[in-house]
Amino acid sequence: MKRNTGLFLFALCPLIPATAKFSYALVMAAALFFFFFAGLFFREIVKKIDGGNSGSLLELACLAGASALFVSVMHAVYPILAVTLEMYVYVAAFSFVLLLSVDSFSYRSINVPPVIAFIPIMVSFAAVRELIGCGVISLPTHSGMLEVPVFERFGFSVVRFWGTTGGALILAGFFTWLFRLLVSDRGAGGKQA
Amino acid sequence: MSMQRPVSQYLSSVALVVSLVAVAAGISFLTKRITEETFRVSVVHALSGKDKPAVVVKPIRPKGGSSMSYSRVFAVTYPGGKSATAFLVSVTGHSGPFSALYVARPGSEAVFSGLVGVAHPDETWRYGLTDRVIESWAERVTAVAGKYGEEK
Repeated sequence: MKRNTGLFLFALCPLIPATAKFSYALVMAAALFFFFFAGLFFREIVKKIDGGNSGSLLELACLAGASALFVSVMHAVYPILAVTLEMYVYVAAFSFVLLLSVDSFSYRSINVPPVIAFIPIMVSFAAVRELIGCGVISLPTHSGMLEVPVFERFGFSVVRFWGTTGGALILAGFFTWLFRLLVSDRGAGGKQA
Repeated sequence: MSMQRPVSQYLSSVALVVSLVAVAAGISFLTKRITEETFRVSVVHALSGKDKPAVVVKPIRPKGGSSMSYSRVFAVTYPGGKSATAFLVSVTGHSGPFSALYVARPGSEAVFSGLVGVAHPDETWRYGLTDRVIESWAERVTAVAGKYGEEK
């Protein structure tokens, strides 16, 4: 898993621009949920039909079909958002975090799959990013997005930087460092006790 | 000794994928009308309104050879009979992707006509879209619009 961290993070990069808005993050979260449960469903079907060596390829083909299905529904429900998010939904269907979660999920284990843990982080990150960068929270609607102003004065350039992709990457790096610091401190404290 | 798989396993695999694609195509077909109407209304809203002339908008089929970026094309008719072609494209700026509308008249360059689906369609700075990004997409749309000529 440690060797795959770089690939793991690289696979998530397309989600940085896709989560520029809270409304986008909600749609991407729904997509990841759908793909995760669809992946589990197809995994069971492939086991039943005994896919053999080509079983993983069949699972990927089914995930491609599931992504086409989700995009079709997205076109119907949120057509304007579909114009911008279509590509990212297709990419998310093949993201490493999703495939890892589907492959490693076990009904007997109580571990939370990585994608299920990732979704609330992604949604809250998008919310914080939009609040800090734009001072609004957006919600998806049929004709685009509804922007609810929260901090009226936010919008001048210094603060707006944190709503950009560059600002989001810096924030992500900062919070990753903070998380690892807290985890390593907790581990060191446990060992000493 | 090699174990040959029964044909039914291969057929099951193919049937699974085909059924998924068929369901997706079916949903797309059934919802096509409402989706096109939403796009049409959004384009009318972007082009019409206060200080802007009322327009008639009709979705048209994209010309062959266009990439997926230019798959939403509309024929626009202004009062007086003048026509243009409108393109709804996804433009990515510093803050992520947004839907932008470009209008190209025959023989002229495409002009940015606002963002679609947002609260401040003319204030591109709010959404991280610089003038350079807007101009870059105008050049691309102009190149694609040349294929369409005058659409009615």
